[in-house]
Amino acid sequence: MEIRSSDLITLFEDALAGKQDKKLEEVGVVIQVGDNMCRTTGLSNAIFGEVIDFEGGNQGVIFDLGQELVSIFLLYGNIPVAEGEVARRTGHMFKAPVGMSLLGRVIDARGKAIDSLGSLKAEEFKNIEAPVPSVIDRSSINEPLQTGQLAVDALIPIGRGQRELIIGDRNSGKTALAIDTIISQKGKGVYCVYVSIGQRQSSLAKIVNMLEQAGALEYTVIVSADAAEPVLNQYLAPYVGCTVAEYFRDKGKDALIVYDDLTNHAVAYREMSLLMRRPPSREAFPGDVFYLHSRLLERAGKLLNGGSLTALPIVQIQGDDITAYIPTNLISITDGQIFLDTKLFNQGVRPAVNVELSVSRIGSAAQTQAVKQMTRGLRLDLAQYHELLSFAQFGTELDEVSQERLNRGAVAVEILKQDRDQNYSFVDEALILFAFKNEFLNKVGLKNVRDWATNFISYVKSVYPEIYKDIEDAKAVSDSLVEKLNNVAKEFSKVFASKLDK
Amino acid sequence: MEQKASQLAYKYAKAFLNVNTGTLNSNFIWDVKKAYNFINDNPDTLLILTLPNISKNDKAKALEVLRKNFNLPDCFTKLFELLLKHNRLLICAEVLKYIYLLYPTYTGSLLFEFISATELSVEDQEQFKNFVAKQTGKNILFEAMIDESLIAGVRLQSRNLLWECSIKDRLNRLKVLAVRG
Repeated sequence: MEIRSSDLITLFEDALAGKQDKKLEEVGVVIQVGDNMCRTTGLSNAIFGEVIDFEGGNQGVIFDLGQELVSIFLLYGNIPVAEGEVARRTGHMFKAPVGMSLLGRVIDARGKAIDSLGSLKAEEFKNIEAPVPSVIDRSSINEPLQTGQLAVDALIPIGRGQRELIIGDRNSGKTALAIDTIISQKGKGVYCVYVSIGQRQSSLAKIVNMLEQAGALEYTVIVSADAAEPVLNQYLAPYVGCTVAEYFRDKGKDALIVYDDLTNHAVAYREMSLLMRRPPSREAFPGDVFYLHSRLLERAGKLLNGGSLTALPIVQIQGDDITAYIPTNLISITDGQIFLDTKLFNQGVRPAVNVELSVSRIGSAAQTQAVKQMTRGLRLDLAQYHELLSFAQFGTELDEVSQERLNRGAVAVEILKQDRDQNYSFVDEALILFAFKNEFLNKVGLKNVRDWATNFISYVKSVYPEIYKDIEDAKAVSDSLVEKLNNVAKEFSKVFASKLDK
Repeated sequence: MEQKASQLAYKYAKAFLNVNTGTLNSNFIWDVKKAYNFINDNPDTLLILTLPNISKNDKAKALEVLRKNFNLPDCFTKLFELLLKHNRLLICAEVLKYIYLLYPTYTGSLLFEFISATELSVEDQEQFKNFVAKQTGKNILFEAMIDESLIAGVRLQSRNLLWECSIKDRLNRLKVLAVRG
């Protein structure tokens, strides 16, 4: 806690000089307090969403304007509010700090730094409820956002400005996927914002540490409202994070925001609504819970000024049931979903992306040409594999063609697996998919497939760097390059085979 | 139930003011406030008067004593009689509260408390009254009170408005800075 000496001096100066604000302040009196919420009389001209200052030092935001009483949710859980205390209008809505100085910092939903690296020097403060960009101001999404995860970039490509929902049961790898995506943005000019809602402090500490070690913290802002924070803070955190991200978008930059997770956000809003005695609807959520998320996610998009805001909202489901209320709301709002299956996770398929239930509505419009060329047929191979797998499980004898498809599908599943610290560039992905498409991986043996793939990438990088660079520059694989790669792959296969023999 | 009682009290208060506003001296409002505070803090006072073994005459006499004790105008006798007749004596405090809250709207005035650390002179009170009247454009009804916790200075407070220049307020602002960080 820092008492700013300049404020003290100013106050003393004002007192000595006899300066006094000549206006009457609009106030109310607290008549009921409880559950991080209070009700006041007065405040007859107050507006919805206005910030209120309490005599005792607390602050709150107005959420209900009744005929007699005003309901205010409190921002600080540790500063008491007493009955009879005076509540003053501030005249402004809740604002969030924005600016480049927030990069590398961890802030709470009130906009205060919580990383012990000194106070924030925000460029400005913006209202968290901002107007959504109009249709005229938007442009089509055609630039890929590389997640570094082959399963996603190949089959469920995300574009800059897209909203892609990450949905899965607990411990299915949702946060891991989001964090790996943030780490993958290193050197790509994308500013990231990670919003943690209702999570454990220990989990956040791990994430901060992970980002710091990967060198990702320098282009990331973290907004945290952990489980111990008042419910208002958990409600505000996504809007604060979005305001911070919009700053970059409005400057013509690309930004990525991760909301982890919106289930907790909806639960916090439900708690607030029930305390305000608003009529509950399905699953006790208030009637406007759809609007809670739609107005947040509609702020993402690609603008004509060149800036974009990509949103990766995360939602947790129970028992792999994607038909629950909040998940279905979010599925209808977003431009696609990545479904992480617990069964696949337990089988060792990580990231546990269920390709059949996942979709990207932007599709290959936001995919690098190089990867697009090599992905043709992959989805079909996987679909056929899963279809045949059910027959194979019954011990049915399969013909040669079916057996081959089964083997090929198994190889496809194997190449889509990825370790936590493994991030692929689009060139790496194109090379792996090239090898799969041209059947170089079929005779390697399932347990060697991933080794073969990673070593092949290193081989091309080190022995044929000009091919790697050509693909990187052109973002496509020309016919001549395909021929070269064929030869390189044959050469590498021999090298790898001899290594295995040894 | 509570909401219904409150709505009922509101109606009684409105009816009372509709009939009697023209005949009331504006300073009565502070006596109403004192009466409300007393009954609110001592609800058993009226609870006893609802017991069936006390005659109606005795109840009326007790209410008359209460009225005189708080210097309430004569028109309050009829109000208490009506509440007694309707067996609604228990909402008397609420009725007084609504009379206190609604009276200013009937007369286009504002109720203010002039709270100071030491006693204000009549000239000072007039000065503050004129200041607030100029700010609000309304007729001001005020009550001067002493609160030593202000240390020095004055606090002009109504239900919706506040103007404060006191040591206590200054110290409080410093405290807020320290507490919020």
